[in-house]
Amino acid sequence: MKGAWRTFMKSTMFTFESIYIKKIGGLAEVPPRLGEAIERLGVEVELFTPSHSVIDTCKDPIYETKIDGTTYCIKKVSNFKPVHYVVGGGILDDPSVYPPGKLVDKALVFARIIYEFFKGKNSSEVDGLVFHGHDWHSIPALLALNALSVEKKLRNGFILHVHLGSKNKVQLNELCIKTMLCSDTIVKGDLGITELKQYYEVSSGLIERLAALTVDKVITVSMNYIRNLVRLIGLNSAKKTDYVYNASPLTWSQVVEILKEKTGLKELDKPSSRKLYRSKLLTEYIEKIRVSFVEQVVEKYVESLLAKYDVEYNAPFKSDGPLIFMIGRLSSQKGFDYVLKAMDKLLLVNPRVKMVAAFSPTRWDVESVEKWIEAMLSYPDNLRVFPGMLIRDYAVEFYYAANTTLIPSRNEPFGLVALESMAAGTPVAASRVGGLVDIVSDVRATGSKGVGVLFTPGDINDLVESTMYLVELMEAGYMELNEAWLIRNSCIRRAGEFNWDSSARKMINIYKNIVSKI
Amino acid sequence: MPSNFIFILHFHQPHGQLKYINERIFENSYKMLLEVFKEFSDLKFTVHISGPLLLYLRDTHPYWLEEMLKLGDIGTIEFMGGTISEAVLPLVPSDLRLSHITRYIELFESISGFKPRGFWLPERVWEPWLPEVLAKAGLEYVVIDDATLRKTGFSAEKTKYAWITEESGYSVKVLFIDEKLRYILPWDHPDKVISYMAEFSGDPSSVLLWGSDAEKFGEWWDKESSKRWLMDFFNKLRFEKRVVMVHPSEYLREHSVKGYIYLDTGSYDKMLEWSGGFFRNFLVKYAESNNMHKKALWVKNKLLKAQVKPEDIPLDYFMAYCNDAYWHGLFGGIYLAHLRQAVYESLIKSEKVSEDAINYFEASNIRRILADFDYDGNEELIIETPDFNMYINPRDGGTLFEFDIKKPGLEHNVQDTMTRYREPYLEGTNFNPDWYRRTSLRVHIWGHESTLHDWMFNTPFKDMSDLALSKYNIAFSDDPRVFYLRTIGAVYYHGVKASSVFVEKRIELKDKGYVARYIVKNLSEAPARGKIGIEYHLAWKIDRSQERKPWYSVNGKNFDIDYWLSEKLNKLTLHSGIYPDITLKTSRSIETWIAKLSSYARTEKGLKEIPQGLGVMFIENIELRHGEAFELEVEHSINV
Repeated sequence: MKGAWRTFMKSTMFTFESIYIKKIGGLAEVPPRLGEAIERLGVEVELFTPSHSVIDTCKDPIYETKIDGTTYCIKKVSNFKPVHYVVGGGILDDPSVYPPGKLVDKALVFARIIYEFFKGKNSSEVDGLVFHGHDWHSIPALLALNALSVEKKLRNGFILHVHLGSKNKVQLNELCIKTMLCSDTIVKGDLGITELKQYYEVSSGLIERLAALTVDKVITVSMNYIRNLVRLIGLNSAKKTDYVYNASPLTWSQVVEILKEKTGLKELDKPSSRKLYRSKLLTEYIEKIRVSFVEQVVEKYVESLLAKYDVEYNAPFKSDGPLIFMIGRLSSQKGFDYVLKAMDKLLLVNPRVKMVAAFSPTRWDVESVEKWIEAMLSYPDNLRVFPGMLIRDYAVEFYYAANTTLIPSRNEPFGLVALESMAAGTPVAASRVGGLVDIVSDVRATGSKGVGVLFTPGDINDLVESTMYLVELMEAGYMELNEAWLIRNSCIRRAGEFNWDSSARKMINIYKNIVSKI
Repeated sequence: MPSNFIFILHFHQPHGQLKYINERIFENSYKMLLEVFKEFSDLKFTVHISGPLLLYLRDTHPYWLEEMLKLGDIGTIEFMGGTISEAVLPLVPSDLRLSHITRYIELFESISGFKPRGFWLPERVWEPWLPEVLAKAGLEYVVIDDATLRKTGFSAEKTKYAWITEESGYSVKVLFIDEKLRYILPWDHPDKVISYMAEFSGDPSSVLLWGSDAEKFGEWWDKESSKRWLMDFFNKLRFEKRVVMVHPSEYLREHSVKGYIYLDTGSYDKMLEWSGGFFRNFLVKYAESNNMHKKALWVKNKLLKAQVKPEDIPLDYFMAYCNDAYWHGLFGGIYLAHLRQAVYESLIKSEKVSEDAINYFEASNIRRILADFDYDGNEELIIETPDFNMYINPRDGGTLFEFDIKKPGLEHNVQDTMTRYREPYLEGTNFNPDWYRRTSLRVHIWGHESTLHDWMFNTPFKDMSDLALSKYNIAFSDDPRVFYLRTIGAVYYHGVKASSVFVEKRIELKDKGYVARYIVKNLSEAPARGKIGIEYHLAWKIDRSQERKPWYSVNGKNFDIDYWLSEKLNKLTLHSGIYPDITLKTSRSIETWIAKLSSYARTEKGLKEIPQGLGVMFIENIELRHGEAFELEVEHSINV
C-alpha cells in the first residue's frame, strides 16, 4: 500500500501570477509553462491562483464559502494548461495583482480559502500531494496546508520556489486573525512537529526564512541566485536549496514566425535583413506601436504625464542608428535608473545610438515613469519609452532589430529577458548578477561563442563601456560569418538550451526525491 | 648666558602681482630693508625670497639682489629655500612636490652659486608627510609655527628648542616661530620686545624665533616708522647681553636638536582660524579655488600623457600653484582677479604645451569629455578645441564655469568670475552672499518686482523657479559642434509648485566662441509667469603692467565699467584695452541688465571693493500659456 500512493504523485502549485490570468513580470510564465511540461512527462499538475477580477469565479464554482460576510469561490478552468483553480472573492478580486498596502492581506486571504478548500476534501484526495508554492505570496498557503497535513496526519511534500526574494516580515497575530495559523497551531518542519510560534521565533518572522524551516525543498531559478537565496533563508536551510532553470519563453522559430508575417522579409537570419528592418522600425513602424495597461489607474496617470509633457512615446526617430533595447518592470530591482544616469555618457560615445525602453509600470513606479517621460524631452533624438505593456510580437520586433538588449538589474534571480533577446539572436549587455551570470558568457572572454557582455551592477562607467563595446561590435557586423553574425548564432543556440522539458525533468526528480522521504 | 634669537624675513609677492604694486613695495620696503641689513651687517638675519619674487627681482632689480647676496657672502644673511611658486605643498600633487622644491633650489643656486639649507614652508602649512620630501630635496631644517606644536598636544616649553621629526625613514629638523613674539614685534616698543626675549636667557641652548612677512616693514606699516623701529631695535640688540642673534644653521650646529617629535597638521593661529583648522578646507569653501586646483590636476594629467618628465614641465605650470589665489583670510587672496587670471594663464599655456606634444587634436578638432573634473562625485562636460575649452556643470543649472581662450599670447579664462561668499568680517554689514555660483548660461525666473539691484546685492534675489540649480541632461548630436542641455523644472508661487517648465539650451561651437539658443516652454495648464533672466558673467582681462579701467559699449555708446545699465539691446561688447573684445549678441533686441560684479575685502581703511567681472542678465517678462515658449539666442564671442 505504501508504495501505491507514490504512483499517484501530483503537484499542486500556488502562484499569484499566471499568463492565463494576469502577467506583471516573469513569474507569470513559469508555473503554467513548467506545469505543462511536467504534465507532458506524466506527472499530474494543478495550479491555484487568485482571480485579480479577471475571471468571475462565483459563476459555476467548484467551491464556495463565506467568511466574515464575504463570499469566496474557486472556479476550475480546465482549458488552461495545467488545469487552473482560480480563487476569487473579496480582496482576491482586486484588479491589482500586488495592491499597495493590501498585499499581505491578499496573500493571507488566499491561504485561508486554500486551507478551507483542502480541509473540506477527503484525506485520501490530499494525501500524497506535493504542494509547490511560487514566491512569498504562496507561503501562508503552504503553512496552512502544512498545519492541515499535521492535523489530518497526511503525507505531503512542500516546496517553496523562489523567483524573487522578498524579505517580507509577517506578524504572527496578523496570520492568526486572517488565517487559522496561530502561535499554537502545530506544524512540521526542521524543528519537528511543534507550535508555529517556535518556527516564528527562529525565523524572526522573515517569511521566506519561516517557510524554509517548514518545507522540504527551497528551489530557485538559477545556480548563481542560490547565494542570494541562502542569505535570505539562512545558512541552516542551505542544504535544502536547489535550482531549476526557467526556460526561454521564446524560440528562434517563434521569432521567425512572428516576424515573417510582420516584415515580409524572407531571410530573417541574414544580417542585412536585421539592419533594414531596424531602420524601418525606428523611423516608420514604431509609430503604430501602442502599449496596454494592466491597471487603469496607471493608464490614466501615464496618459496625464504624456499630455503634460506633450510627448509621444511612439514618435518615429529622425534617423536610423544602433539600437539598444530595454524591457521590463520599472521596479528598483531592474536597475533602469542606472541607465538614466548613464545616458549622457552612452550618447557621448556614439550620439547616433537609439534607445527604446518598454516598461510596464505598476502604481508603485509612478515616479520613475515620470522621470523616463521627462528623459524623452531631454533626448528626443535618442530615446523612446513605451510606458506600458508591449505585446510580445512588438517586443520581438525590437529584440530582433536591436544591437543589444540592456539588462542593468540590481539583482536578477533568472533573467528571462536575456533569453528572449538571445532567442531573437540579439546579445545582451547585462549586470553581473544572479541568473544572468549563468546565462551570459562574455564575448570579451569567449569571443564569438559568447552571448553578450557582463558589467558590475551600478558601475556606470562599466555599463557604458561594456554596452557600447557590444553595440559597436554588432554595428560593425552586418555581414555573414563575421564575429557579430557568429555571436547572434551563439545567442540562438544558447537560448535553446533553456527549455521547459529540461527544467521539468529536473523538477520531477526533486518531487520524487521528496516523496521518497515522506 | 644669552638666549638665541633667530630673525627671519619672508619676502614674497605672488605670481601675477600687479607691476605697480611690486614696484611700490620694492621702493618702500625691500630697498629700506637692504639699507637696514647693511647698517647692521654685524648682526645675523635670515631671509627667504619666494620663487615668484626671486624671478621678478632677478629680471627687474638684479642690483638689489646682488647686494643681498653679498650680505650672504659676508655672513650677515642666511638664505632659506622654498618652493618655486610659493605653493602650499599639500595642494601640489605628491609626485610634483619634490620638483616644486628642487626647482626653487636650482633657481636660487643659479643666481647665488650655493644651495640653501633651510626651508621656508609656504604659509607654514604643515602636514606630517613633509619630512620625506624635504629630506629628499637635501634640506636640513624647516620653520613652522608653535601653534602646530600646541595643536599636536605639546606644551609651550618645547617651542624654545629645535626638534627632529621623521617620515618613512626621512628626517628634518624643526624650529618653531614664537607666536607671542610675532604679535609684539614690531608692534610694541623695542624695549618691550627685548625684555620678552630676555626672559629666556640663562639657557644657552634655548632659541626664540621670529619669522614673518618682510612687507610688514614699509608696506603694511609705513616706511619711515618701520625703519625707525628697526634701527632702534637692532641698535639695542647690538649691545644686548641677554640675547644673541644667530642663523638657524649656526644654532643647529652648536646646539643640535632636543629630541624627536611627530606633528599634527597645522599652520599659524590665524590661518587655522580662517581655514577652519585645515588648509585644504579652502578648496571646499571656494568653488573657484577648487576650480583652479582641479584644472591644475587636469593639466598635470595631460602633461603625464605627453610623457613630459618633471624636469621638463614648463615653469608656467609650477607657477600656477602659487598659494595666494587659492585662499582668503582678511585681504585679497582668491578674491583678487588678477591673481586668478595669472593662474589660469599659466595653466592654459601648459595645457597647450602638452596638447601640442601629443597631437591631442589629431583625431578630431573637438573633443567632448564627461569626467568628474572637480572631484565632487559627478561628471562635468568638458569641450576642448585647439582654440578654446568650455567646462559645463550639468548639475549646477547646466552652467558654463570655465571658458578658456587658448590662443598663444591671449590665454584667458573668460569665465573666471567670482562668487561672493559669507566672510566673518562682512557680518553686520549690508553684504548678502550669493546663493549660486556666478557663472554663465544660468536661467532664472524671477518675481516681477525683482530689480537689477536685487540681482547684484541679493536683497533678496528671489528666483521663483528651481531652474537655476537644476540638473541638466546632456544630449550629444552627430555634429560634434552641437550639444544640448535640457531639464524640466518648476515655477513656484508662494512656495507652491504652479507650473512645470522645460528648458533647452542648444549650444553650438563657433570659431570665435559659441551660440546658446534658449527655449523655455511651459508644460502645464497653469500659465508660467515671471521675469525670465538669462545670466552671464564675463571676466575682462586685467592689465597687470599698469592701472587701466575696462569699459563696455552698447547701442553705439561707451559706458564706464562702474555704470549700471538697464536697456534694450542686441549687442554688448566688453573692452579691456589690452585684450580682444568680448561680445554678447542676441538674436533679437531684449532688455538687458548690466552691472559690475564686485566683492568686498577688509583693509586697514575699511571695506574695499574688488571687481570680479561684468554681470549681464537678459530679461523678459513672460506669461507663457500651456505649450508656449520663450526663445532667445545668445552668441558669446571673443574677437581673437
